[in-house]
Amino acid sequence: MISLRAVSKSYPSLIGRRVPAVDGVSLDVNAGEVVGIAGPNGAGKSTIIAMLLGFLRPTSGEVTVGGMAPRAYVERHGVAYLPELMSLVKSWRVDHALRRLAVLAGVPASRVSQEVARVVAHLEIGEHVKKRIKALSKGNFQRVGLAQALLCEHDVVVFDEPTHGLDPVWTQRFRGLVDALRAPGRSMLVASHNLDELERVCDRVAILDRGRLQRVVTVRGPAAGDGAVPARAYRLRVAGDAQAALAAFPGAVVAGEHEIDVPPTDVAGLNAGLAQLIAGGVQVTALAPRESALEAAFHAAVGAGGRGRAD
Amino acid sequence: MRGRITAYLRFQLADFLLMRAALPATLVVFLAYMTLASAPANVDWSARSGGARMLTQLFQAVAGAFIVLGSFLGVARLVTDDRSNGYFRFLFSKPVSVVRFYAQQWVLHGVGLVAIAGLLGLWLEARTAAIPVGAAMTMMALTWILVGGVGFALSAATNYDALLLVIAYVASSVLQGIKGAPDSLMAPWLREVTKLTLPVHKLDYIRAQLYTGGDLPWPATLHVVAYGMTGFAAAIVLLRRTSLAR
Repeated sequence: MISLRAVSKSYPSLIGRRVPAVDGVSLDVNAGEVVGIAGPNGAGKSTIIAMLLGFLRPTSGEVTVGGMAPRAYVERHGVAYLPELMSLVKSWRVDHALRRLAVLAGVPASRVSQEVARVVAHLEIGEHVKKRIKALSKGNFQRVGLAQALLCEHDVVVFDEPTHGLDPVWTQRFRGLVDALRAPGRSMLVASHNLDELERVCDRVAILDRGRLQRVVTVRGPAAGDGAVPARAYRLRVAGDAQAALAAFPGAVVAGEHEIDVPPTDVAGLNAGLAQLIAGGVQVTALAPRESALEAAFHAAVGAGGRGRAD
Repeated sequence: MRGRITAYLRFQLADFLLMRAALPATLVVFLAYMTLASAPANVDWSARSGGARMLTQLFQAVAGAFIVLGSFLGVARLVTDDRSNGYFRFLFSKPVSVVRFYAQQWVLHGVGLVAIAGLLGLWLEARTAAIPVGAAMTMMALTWILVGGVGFALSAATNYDALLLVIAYVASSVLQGIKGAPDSLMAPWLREVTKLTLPVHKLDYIRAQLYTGGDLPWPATLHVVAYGMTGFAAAIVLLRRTSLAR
């Protein structure tokens, strides 16, 4: 559905050199799939999205959506899009803005009120519909942005930093919203700093750094590691003194009174260590990976600290 | 599902009236009202002597102010506003043609300005005596085509369209004034450059003809229309071929 082939985008700098924002990225988002884009600040996430909506033209390479040039596709079918840089006329009232955008989205005149009421109820912004855009908090404005994206059913959904500004309750609800939007013919792209968010909602996550695609991690489905689980670091919590648990895991360090950090180990090593602990009478109260597979892949691709923030 | 761009016209009309037409209309009504209020109570506006001369001056001042101000405010930041404020991300993720959206808005602003010019003329006429309302509407239309067409192209091309449009208009007037002077010493190359500037002098000529009851001078009119529509066409090409995001 969405296809990027060796796509590059560069901008001229003040001294005439071209500065690459996206460099040779190839990526496919198939129908029925939710693909995430992760990367530090300036990695090129929003530039890729701008190109696949036809807001920017690639310097080289090809972007197609539904087999068409992006702008042609958007003008014919529309895209459910929540931009990272949300901006609406500040003097508009929320309901007025939604009505306008519903008309542009192609909602028939007889259904505009109904569709606006539906998204207002869905995003629970009823108490804000008479407010002007400028009076909204960041989180409520973000929900208005989500509401306008959902005014119509589209085959392409693009969310850029969708949970930015949302409170924890709505951050959780967003996951349900993405799940509800999943459909066999629909392609969804979610760009975010938030790796945990991406891991929860996406099938695959493309990791970008400095405009280049570093790797694509499958986080859901048959290829998501149901077989061999890669070596991971773990945090282990025990009932007694943490020192007692160190012997079972070579290289482990005490992380707290009842906690140790286990260095990266495979499943066999982990189970052997746990068996030794339990056989020695130590009670294990909790065990969790110190980072998810996606976080591990991200840090491997971008570097432990990353160049930017990766929450 | 296709976007309902024609249905969106009513929102564009409301924006036009509120954001672009209200200021010049209010200003000229205020100017006209103050002038009328300060005139002697028993003035005969149709009299050949003082009343008619005063009305002609008032009409030309009011019409001139509305036509020029309306044209500039009507086209300033037409595309730029949506682009620089980022509104385009919401507007053009919907199934609508960017070209059609702005072309519709441009036509609406032109028609709206001509209609308001007509209404203001009729209002003034009702308060005074016969004035060339049709001529003022024609001048509004021609000025819109010229200034609006060039302004549209500038707005599609750059974020500094309003400033550049004012500079282009003033520079054209100055250069054409110097070129047209009887003893002009303008260098030949500058004469050639002046030929490329906005034909503001043609507008002046057409206005002089129309306001004195003459016929529309077609060659000058076609020159103005061709220049303005070239600007309009350039805007369409720019919208089609350049990126919305900068």
